[in-house]
Amino acid sequence: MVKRLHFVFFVVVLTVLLAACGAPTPTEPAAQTSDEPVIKVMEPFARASMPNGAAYMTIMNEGGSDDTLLNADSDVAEAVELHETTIGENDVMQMRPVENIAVPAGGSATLEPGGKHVMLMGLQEGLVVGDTFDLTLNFEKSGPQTVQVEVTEGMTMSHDMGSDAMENSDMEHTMDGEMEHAMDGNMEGSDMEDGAMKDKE
Amino acid sequence: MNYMGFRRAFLLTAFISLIGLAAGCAPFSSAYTFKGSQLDPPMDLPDFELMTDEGQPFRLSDNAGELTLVYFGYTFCPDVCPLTMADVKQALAGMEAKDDINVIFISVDPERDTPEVLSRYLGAFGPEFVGVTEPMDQLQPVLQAFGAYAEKAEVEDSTAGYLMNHTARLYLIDAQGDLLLTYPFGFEPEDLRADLEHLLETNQS
Repeated sequence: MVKRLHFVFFVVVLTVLLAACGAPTPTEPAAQTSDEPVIKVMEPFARASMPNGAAYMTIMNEGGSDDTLLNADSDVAEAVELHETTIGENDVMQMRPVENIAVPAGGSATLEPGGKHVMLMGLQEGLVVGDTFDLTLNFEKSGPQTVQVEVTEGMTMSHDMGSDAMENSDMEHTMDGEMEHAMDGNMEGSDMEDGAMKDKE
Repeated sequence: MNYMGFRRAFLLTAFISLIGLAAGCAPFSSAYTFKGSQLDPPMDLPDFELMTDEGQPFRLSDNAGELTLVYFGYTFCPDVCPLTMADVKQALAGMEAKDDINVIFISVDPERDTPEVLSRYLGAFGPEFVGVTEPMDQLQPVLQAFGAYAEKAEVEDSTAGYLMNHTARLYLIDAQGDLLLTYPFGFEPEDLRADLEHLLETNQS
């Protein structure tokens, strides 16, 4: 009988805990009036890389007026800039800084591989698959919005691998070790001080 | 020759002929269509020798009989280059004959890409990724041979100082040392793997 009560108690506790987990965590600002921009950042991700990297995401504006992404900050990199890759005639790739990225009312801006992205220059440590880092996006009207960026291996998220799971975990370890050394060499090496990084702090 | 002996010889001959026929027909009955963009006929490449990040010369003609993937990129590139290398890595993952495949990453940014920088960058992708860094004047003839392009572009309002405009294609050199296939940015790793596996199979026969 006592055992049974324990069990019931356990189930009740578990249910309460699960319900708490499932509850939405309100990270968005409280409902705004419809003539304000309402910014939502969907699935921010980055790829494992060094010495530089890029963050991608879809920025939705569910509000009634336009907004603009002005710039971004993150502790993981020495410099964070908005850039755009274009692939033009004869597959020549060009990358250029862009002044800002418009997020129109009721529309969205897509930051994706081979397109617009948040460029992370001089990563303190290389980005490693499975890591997350904070990225603050500064919007003209909505102000700063901090999102958690996940470092993933593929264009798609990590669930597309299946039988390659072993390979992936290999990669993580390799990246881990290699990246740190690589950063040491690269950031403190002569090439960065040669003016490649003008604003090195 | 007794009857049984004759019969055996006849059956053997018939069997061997059948195998011969089947083998002869195979290329026609199951013509493989490459997933990459095919150069038909394959393009002759002049032989070239470049110094790798390990300090070893890489000479194209030394790798006859093997498949070679060539990419022109630079380590400062945050977007297209690491994505392409990750896709190549994914294509090669689980392939058995990786020894017969070379991956050559030719830096178009020799100023920043010292052998050390390149070696660490590529080490993260796998041992079959070999970096090459040479002064620009020595790279130009190689770029030209592939029909590829690279140019330094100064950028204002950026910490980067300068970026490189470059062809974002992956090139596949066949076992004869000719340029056979190219892949645009964003190709499917499965497509590259299928082409590589087909070429390895046909090379062995």
